[in-house]
Amino acid sequence: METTLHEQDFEKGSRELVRYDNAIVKMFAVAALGWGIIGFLVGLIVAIKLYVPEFLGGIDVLSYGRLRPLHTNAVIFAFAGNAIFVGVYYSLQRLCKARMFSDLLSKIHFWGWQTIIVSAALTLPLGITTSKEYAELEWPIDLAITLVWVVFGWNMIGTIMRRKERHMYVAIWFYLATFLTVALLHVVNSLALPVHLLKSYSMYAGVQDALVQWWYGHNAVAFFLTTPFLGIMYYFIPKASGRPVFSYRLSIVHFWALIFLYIWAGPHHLLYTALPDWAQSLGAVFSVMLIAPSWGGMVNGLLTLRGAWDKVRVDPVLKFFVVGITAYGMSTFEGPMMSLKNINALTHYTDYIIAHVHLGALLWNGGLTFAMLYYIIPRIYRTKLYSVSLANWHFWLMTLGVVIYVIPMYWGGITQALMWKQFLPDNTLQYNNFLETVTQLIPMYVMRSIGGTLYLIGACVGVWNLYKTAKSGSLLADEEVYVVNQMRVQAVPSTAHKEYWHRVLEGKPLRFSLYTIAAVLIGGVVEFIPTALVESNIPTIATVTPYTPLELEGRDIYIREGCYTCHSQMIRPFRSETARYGDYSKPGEFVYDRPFQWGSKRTGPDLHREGGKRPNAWHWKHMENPRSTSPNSIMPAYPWLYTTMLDTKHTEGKILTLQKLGVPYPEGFAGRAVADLREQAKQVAAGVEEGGIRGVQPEQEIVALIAYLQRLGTDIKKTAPSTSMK
Amino acid sequence: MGVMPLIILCSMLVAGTFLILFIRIIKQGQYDDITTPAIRMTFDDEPRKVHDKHQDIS
Repeated sequence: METTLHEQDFEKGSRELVRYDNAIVKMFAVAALGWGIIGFLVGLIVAIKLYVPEFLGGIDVLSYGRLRPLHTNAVIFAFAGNAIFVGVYYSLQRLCKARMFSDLLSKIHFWGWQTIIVSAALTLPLGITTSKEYAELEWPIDLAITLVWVVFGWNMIGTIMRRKERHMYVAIWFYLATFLTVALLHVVNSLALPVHLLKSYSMYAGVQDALVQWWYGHNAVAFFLTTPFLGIMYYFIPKASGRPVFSYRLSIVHFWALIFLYIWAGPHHLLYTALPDWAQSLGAVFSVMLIAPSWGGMVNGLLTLRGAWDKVRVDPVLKFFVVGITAYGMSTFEGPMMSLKNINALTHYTDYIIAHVHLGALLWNGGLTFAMLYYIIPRIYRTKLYSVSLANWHFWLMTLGVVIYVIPMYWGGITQALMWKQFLPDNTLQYNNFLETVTQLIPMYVMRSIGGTLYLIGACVGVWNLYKTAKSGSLLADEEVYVVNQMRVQAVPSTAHKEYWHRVLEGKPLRFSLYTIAAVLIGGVVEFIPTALVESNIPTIATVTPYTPLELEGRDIYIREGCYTCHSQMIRPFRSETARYGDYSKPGEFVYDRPFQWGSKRTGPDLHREGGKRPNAWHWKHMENPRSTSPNSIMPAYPWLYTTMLDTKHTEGKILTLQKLGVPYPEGFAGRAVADLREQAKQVAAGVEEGGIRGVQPEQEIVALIAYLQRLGTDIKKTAPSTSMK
Repeated sequence: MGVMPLIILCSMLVAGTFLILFIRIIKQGQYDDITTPAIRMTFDDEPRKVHDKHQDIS
């Protein structure tokens, strides 16, 4: 039966030879594994630093605040990113029955992406960062990301246009949504005005910057760590189990519902902050609704294995998938729950969030990546998996590692949140010293790093197993297969809409419409931003004034050192927070914050009202050796801030750039900026010496940082004319 | 909050793009058959070598 069908097709000339490009799949796979191990290792290093602050201490490029962004970028964009491209390049060719559109574009994509990763690995430890989480890379790298992403999309859409299969399988839609949405998010969030090659100021300030950042940040999780992996799930689970997806109808509903809801949920990262309440509620409502499509997808993935559970017992590929999808279900249950304000009030800023993201990243993204690689590598190398037993070892190291990681973190998160909120009968905070709530968590931090170590060992076992698998076979770089070109075979019955679909493909309006969207968007953004944003940054609190040049330089050091990775600058309107830190944060206080520094995690206390709380000399001693002022503190020391002299080469340029962004420095102030800076530095240095410190030089970087810290949150306390609202 | 319209505009644009795509592909019959695509994708492609042997036999 099948033979005759093939012969018929062959006679009609509709049967074509297609060469799938496996070489590019292999390249991305090697990159994903290599960067993955590095990313996990950096994660382990920063985890250890949380309870042994001296570990690799005293070296600027290896400090916690600089390595933590390197860890997140490495695992998201280098490990998961390359894994996504493995999945897309392997499955898209087979779903479209066509080779990738262009080998050259594939190569540009691969090498371009690796170059971006290398530049991230070089710049982040040097403190070259925008400090916007998961978007830390500076503007030249952002431009490169945009170009390489367009190359990826071009290559993908070109392949889809040339497909020989009429139907676009649901996985392809997930890939398309990934491309389109990430492009938009990246461009909008990265808009900035450069001071020089390695420094820029965000186009948005304060509350607006926070909103754009978390609109991006949330959707980076949605469209970088979720949709492409759902596409991978919908392709590889049916292939690995030999069973069609449980419900194809559900997969279609899942896709469309998910993408329509996801884009609105960003504000749930900013509950109880200075963001307008209606925006917070909107984000929360959409986040709660998201549970429906998310769980629809999870159930659809798991039920695909109905009747095939015997295979799950023996096939490592399916094991990794099952655990990964289960973790996806747990994460997407937690997400909506944490978007409820009452739960968020407890979990936000704590290690609960760390547990939540690692459950998703380590099992959903990590588990699916390894599942996919255990499926692909033996196939493209025309061999069998080197060792099923090693794969099982990997599976258990991964699963137990994550359990040992997340449970202490959930526990620690709730513990710390409750301690923060605990009052004594006399109306004072029971744990008035923030440090008490930190030292309580140290056993949990130790457990976490043990779990992480197990995960890392598991990953190394996996890499070894895949390497041996590859060695035992030989790469089939160009896989030649015969396919039936459905686009040339007349569909039966021939109807008008099928004809139309034909024309659509040949006339390329899809591509045209994409170009149009891009054009409209760029045009809209360029026109809209200068007018609307500068205008709306007019301060609404009269006493809030721009940073002085010294404070600005200090603030840039704060950004460079990644202080935001542990300290928030956002006091929520809770009794427990106003009692601990002072008056809650107002939107009008952040109008000159480019970028905003609200942070997302309080490993240390909030700093928004730090200004004026402690003498200059305390900060001097604290940054030199945190244990000298705060016994048992887990904060790293910053010795290089004392030996490095402040670079004022760009101070003038910074002021000019900020003026262009609408910060109201007086006319001609840029020219006087350095003189103003020197003058203030002398005063701050004198202030330090008053506290009994000798030999303070006003040029030291630490002086600028102290100036910034002493300014934080003080404007609102000034008794200027009035706090008249505009 | 001058940035709100921008974000809402962008989000609407994404949602709108997908809505237009959705309506179009429904009209074009992509989802007329939602049974066989899921089954067909599980079949492996026929490698070239196997085909050549098959031709020799016939």
